[in-house]
Amino acid sequence: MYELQLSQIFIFVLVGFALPALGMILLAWVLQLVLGYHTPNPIKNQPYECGMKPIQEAILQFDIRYYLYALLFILFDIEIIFIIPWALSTDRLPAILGKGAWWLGPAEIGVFMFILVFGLAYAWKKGALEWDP
Amino acid sequence: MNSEEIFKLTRLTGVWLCLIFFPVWGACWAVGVLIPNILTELAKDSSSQNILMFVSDLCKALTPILSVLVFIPINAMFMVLFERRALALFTVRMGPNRTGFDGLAQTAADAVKLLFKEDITPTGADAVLFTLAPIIFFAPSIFGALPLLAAITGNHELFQIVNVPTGVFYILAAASLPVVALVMAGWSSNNKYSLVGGLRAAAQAVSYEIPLVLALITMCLMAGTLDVVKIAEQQAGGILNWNILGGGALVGLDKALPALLSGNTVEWSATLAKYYPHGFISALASVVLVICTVILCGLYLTSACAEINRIPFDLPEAESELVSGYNTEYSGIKFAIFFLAEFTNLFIVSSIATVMFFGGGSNPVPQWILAMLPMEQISAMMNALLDIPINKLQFLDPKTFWNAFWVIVKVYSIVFFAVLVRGTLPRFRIDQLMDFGWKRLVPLALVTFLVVVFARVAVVCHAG
Repeated sequence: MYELQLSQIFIFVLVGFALPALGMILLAWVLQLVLGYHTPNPIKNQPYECGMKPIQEAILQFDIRYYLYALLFILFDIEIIFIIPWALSTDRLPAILGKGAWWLGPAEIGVFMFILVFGLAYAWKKGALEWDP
Repeated sequence: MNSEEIFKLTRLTGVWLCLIFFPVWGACWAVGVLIPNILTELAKDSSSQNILMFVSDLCKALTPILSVLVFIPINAMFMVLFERRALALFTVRMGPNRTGFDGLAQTAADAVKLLFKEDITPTGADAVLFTLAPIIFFAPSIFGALPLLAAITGNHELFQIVNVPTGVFYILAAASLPVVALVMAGWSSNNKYSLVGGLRAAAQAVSYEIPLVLALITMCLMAGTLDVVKIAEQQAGGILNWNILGGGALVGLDKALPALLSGNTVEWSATLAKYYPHGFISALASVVLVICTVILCGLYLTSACAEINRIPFDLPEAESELVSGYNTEYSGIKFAIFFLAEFTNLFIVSSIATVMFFGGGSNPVPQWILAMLPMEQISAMMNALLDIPINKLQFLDPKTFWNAFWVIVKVYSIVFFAVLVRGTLPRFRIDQLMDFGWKRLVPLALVTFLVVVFARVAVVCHAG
């Protein structure tokens, strides 16, 4: 049963991704090659930028301002991956452990979220959430 | 408001919806029903039976893909025109109203024009990335839409192949891909403004993905599944069952209301006591759940707006500061693909909202009101009137049709809302945007999630 589902996903990712997207874009491309004209010259090929003559190459080293945001994002994203299995199975806990265990699922996620919120508050306090530090 | 313009907008919408419906439905019917039926007939007395049956199955399997392929360009054409006309209506001016009949063919003309344009790669640009970026931007909107198809068509047998048990997770994974393409486009253009645009796109995507995912995961927690079809089916039976109103917290009210309306107060309180066993605590928890889901829906719509870079979050392509952001240097068909994918993303985001919050393909009228109408006579009349398309040709399956009809109505209402927001709000500044994401939406999402978890403890007991 499980193998069937995996192969289903595989097939439709393959067919759903590669075939139509590429086919459609290739079709548009060929149409443009046939219909459009192509007469490049150095002035036309300059980057437009803001309408002025570009001062220097734009493929350069740059400062990523949101480095800390990105780190936090990865943390939160992984936490969400941990939350998903909990969210899907928490309602079955009382059925397995008896009606008295109704508090177990919420308590687990409560502790988990407390750590998460505490981390967010810490990052906030330390100034990781400031665009202009 | 100019009533004539409103009438024209409505007429345009109606005409274009027909233009969308008949090609998509016709293509699905031809490939999924007509050709397999003919092949099966042929296979009855043929020596190459196996090959014919294989081709027939292949046609059925390709139907979902085909429907998406036909749908995406026509839908984008309609949505661009709709957005331009609606914006013109909001800002009291004329929209495009020359090309074709009252501007109906404007976007088709634009698409043809873009085909005839020259495809320029600027000097100093990274040609490979520059060419790949539109493809990578466009591809997720095709394969991300596939699990939604099953929900839109009410799990029609032709579309069951794309119904994955982890649909929501899959859609989220697909939805986080386009930002890579935006960074690629910005970086490879050899244009400083594009680079800034691409970087802003990444910053925005990492900030707003968390509230978006948390909102959806909370709904999955309420539904107990990641399967979009099941989530849509759970909300059947009227507006009170929709996830935006408590994710099933009001089901008991829905069940009890007919008794109250017929004056049977004993049965009313008995049904209420059955569905809300803890009395006041259950009622309070239900109200809290309803408030939470409304907040979550708002959270989802806001952060989805940011994920697909729409005004007021369109910083990656801010025309007035970054010229046009990541797509400044693109021309011709590459630009068209960016444009196409943007509007397709808007449609996908709206259909996710429809399935997760607004009841999928379910009827907004509660069951007990429908019970008062002569529904059986109506459907019998429909059957008699449309006998040939429904029964002879199998062209219209009433269940699928109504499912798709309600999904389309709800999705385009959300699209209209998005256009309304675009016509109303100014653009954020980048630091305001990050602050709003991290200091408002993320804490709000976390708190709402926790509140839902604890409020559910008091309500969920009625499930058994």
